[in-house]
Amino acid sequence: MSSVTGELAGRPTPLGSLAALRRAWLGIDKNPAAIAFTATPVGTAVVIAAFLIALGASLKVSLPTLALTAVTLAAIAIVPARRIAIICGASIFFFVMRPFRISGWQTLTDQLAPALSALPAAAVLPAVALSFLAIAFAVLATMRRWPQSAAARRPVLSLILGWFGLLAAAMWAPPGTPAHALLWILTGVSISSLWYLAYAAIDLKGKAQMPVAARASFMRPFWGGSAIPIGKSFGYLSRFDARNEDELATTRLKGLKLAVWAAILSGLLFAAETVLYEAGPLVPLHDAVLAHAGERSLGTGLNWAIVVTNYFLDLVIIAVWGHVIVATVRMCGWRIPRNTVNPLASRTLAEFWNRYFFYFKELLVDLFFYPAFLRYFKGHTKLRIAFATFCAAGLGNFLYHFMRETYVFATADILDVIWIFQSAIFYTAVLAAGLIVSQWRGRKAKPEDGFFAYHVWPRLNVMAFFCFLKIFDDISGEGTLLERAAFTASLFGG
Amino acid sequence: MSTIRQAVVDILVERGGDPSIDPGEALFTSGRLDSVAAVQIMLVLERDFGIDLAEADFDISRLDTLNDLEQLVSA
Repeated sequence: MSSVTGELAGRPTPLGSLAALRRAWLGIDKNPAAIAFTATPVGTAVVIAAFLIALGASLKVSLPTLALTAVTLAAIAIVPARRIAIICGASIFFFVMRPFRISGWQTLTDQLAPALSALPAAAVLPAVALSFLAIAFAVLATMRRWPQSAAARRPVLSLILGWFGLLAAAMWAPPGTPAHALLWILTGVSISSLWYLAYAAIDLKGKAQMPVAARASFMRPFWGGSAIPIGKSFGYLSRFDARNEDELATTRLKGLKLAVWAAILSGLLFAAETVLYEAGPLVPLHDAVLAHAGERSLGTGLNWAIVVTNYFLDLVIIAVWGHVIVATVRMCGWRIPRNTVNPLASRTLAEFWNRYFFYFKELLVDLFFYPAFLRYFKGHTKLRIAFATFCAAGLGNFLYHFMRETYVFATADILDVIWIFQSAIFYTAVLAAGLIVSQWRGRKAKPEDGFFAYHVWPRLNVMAFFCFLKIFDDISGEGTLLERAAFTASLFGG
Repeated sequence: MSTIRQAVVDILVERGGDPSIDPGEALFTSGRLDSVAAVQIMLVLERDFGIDLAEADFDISRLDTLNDLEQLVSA
């Protein structure tokens, strides 16, 4: 009897088996047998194939991009010694095929097409993209040749000023002319990759030696994404390079794990949006704001639910998007940090920004915070940190979004459309103020203050801050700042 | 123990991290320390070592390891 009971007790339950499977999967990148298998040619092929399936299942990658990723990863696996050249080639191809990061610029290009009827339509965009790569090469080569020049000493400022010069030229060119159309297309192509160029320019001062041609080809890596450089530059990537076969296998397994996690999150996101928005009573936050402005408010209770739901769904959207890109970078052999890491664990606003959108935070810190911090208000530590924070989270954050959206000035008077940025100005100003206050606060809760004071209350504060701030995170031009403020007030009975 | 090493260890301890540190270990790119910690270290470099980090060829990656920091201090 006891032996039978013992046998039954020893038999794993379905839940136990599932938990064991989960543990084995999560530990796969530390499992010597899995690492050894992945290091073999067959293992590499299996891991790459599984990765591509997970990438496809994440629904975040188009079929052509998936095909390019497959070819690139296969080529790297077959000829590892040529990895950088293969990635540069794939990135040039990707950049020429899809030089814009947002659809607004593509729409503008289509609108400007009649002015370029003398040119073969299919060749215009690739030609402009290649022209930009040539400009990027010239800029980087010049900075390397004359490192003491004003442009090389202040590369980010020089590039931003240069880009605004290009924007001004595009705005002043006579509408309907080829020059007007080509200048606007070049403006769009260049803003889509300006921050990659900025990182490449800063990289010239770093330790990683790399031909200028390779740096210039890295204006839109084949793993895609937005205008925010995930992976920054070759200098940054080199710090995460796998140094031997075992490390490469481990890095690939980490890439596979992240891609699978992205696919799972993507499925959960799809299910949540279906249940909440399609089958349920909720609508996206933007629609709720417009409904309230049009005196068709959904009611305080639903609006609260929409604001809170939007916060969580936004975290998942950013996580899936970032995981897909970081996973692809890891499959190339660079074990870079994730873009999103458990943002709900954040106990301060700065920590949240670090955990929620790491590479955007890095862009703002690298290109705006440090330059400001190192140069201004050196005798006043608090003011110095506050000003640098404002330069990053306020000015830099606004500039990033404003520059990205300037296609609106191509077909409308500047005074007619400038107002669409009012919410963005408010959003970035409040974010900067929140971060400054968060840094100025003297005493922060400690574990000995108790579970609620240390774990719960700070996290609730962070969540509340970003929940409400998201109401103003909009550059569509639909819904004014006042309408968004009124929506916020309505949540409290205002 | 040099002052810069002590400063890094103090920051790690303040953040509840493991104070043991390998001289070649990446501090910032590994995520072990964040940009707020980088600011603290910059302030130490300026205040205690008189290093003007605003010099033209300064690259933030030069702060990434203890070896980098000690090289910067002894330069």
